[in-house]
Amino acid sequence: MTVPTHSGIALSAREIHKSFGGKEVLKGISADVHKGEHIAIIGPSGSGKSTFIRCLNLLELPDAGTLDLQGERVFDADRRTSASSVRALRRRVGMVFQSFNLFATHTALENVALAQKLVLGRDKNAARKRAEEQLERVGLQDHMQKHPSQLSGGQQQRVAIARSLAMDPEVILFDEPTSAIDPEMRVEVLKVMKELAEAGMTMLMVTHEIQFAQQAADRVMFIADGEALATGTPQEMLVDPPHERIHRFVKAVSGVV
Amino acid sequence: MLDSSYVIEGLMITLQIWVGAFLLSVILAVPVAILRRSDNLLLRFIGGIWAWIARGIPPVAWLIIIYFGLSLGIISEVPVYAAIVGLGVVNSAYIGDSIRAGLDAVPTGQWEGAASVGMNLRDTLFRVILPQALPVMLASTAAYSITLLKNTAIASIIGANEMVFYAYNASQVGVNPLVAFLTIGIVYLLFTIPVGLFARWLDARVMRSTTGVAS
Repeated sequence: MTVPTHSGIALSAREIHKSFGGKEVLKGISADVHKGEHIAIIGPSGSGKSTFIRCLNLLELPDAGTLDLQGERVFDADRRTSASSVRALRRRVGMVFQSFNLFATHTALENVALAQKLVLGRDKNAARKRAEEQLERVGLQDHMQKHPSQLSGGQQQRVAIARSLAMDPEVILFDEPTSAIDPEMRVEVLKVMKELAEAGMTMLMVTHEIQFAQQAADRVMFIADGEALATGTPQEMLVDPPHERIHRFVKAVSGVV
Repeated sequence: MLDSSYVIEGLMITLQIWVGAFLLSVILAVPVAILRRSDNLLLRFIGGIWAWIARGIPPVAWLIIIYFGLSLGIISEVPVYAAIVGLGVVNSAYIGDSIRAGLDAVPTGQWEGAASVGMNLRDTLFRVILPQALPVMLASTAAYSITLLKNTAIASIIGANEMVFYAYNASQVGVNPLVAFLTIGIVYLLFTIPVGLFARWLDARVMRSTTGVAS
């Protein structure tokens, strides 16, 4: 796969800085995600890759930097950010968490329908219909009435993906979506993600699944110590890494001794 | 013999103080809990000071301070009102803790899940957080309300004519004190039964929902 050059930029992050308690976790990371593009973010634990992706939908408020969606400025750290503009951005940028974060007291169907009704103002029937479609899409048509606690990790994560999809986001962010799932159940989540990618969804994924990144990503970004060390095609980054640091990382997570 | 109409009359006043103080404490507890959960250090400090003072001073002292000390306002002179305000203040710290514990029991992921789909604070609270926090809050609130019921006995000190007041008066005019106080003791006990059962039922519900069986 190559970088699609024919389409515009869906999401652009410029010089994102973030510190926690005086420790600089992000030292100015920039990224452009083209429409329909799939970017995998890899890097060691504590490198700031999760913080970076959380900054992109303002779950963390960057200390410096800007965010553009479809060329429109949606965040500027130098200006006051209202709660409503944060919500407006989150309506357009979906998020799938490592720990699923499904609403515990709601069924799978309600999890997918709730925000459609409350945030998008869809009526009950339309929201329900769309929720059913999305749950079928991720292969959970037989589990719609179950609560999160009755579902496996892989199933919960697929509900979370459906919940995000139902909002018709322009980009979906994935924050280590398979890290908290039993190895056997990861496949079903990765399969859904691959289908999404093939359907043209714009995706930015923090992941440790090197093989998956190789198959599904158009570009791979390597983050270490709060900086984007390099970005390139999966071939460039994973097969023949341009940097000794990346080479070591890829070898280690691939289980090569 | 202890006149039962006096017991009933005293019971009515006891219930008035109990319910009044409970409602007042819930109203006061909401801002206390919000302050104590605030990200702002100063607000958190103010909330902490309130809880410290409300809890640190014995309830009987609170009642006397309000009854005799704050004699400028309307509360004074009417012992029942002074008792409601005094016990309401004390209990607000405990109910505030219940609310805080209830909110703390809900994982941050629930807030983030709601945020990630663009939900506002009100919807997040009422549709996602409170359904999980409320059972936790109510279980401990029910337990505190039993303590509050027993604390209403203190109101007799400032002359509120609740049950203890009547039992004491009856024993002054020749009723066997043991009979008088045993009688009202049983009445207190009877009232703790429905509250206790309610608390236990809620507790069981909380346990069930946290151990993974859908409600």
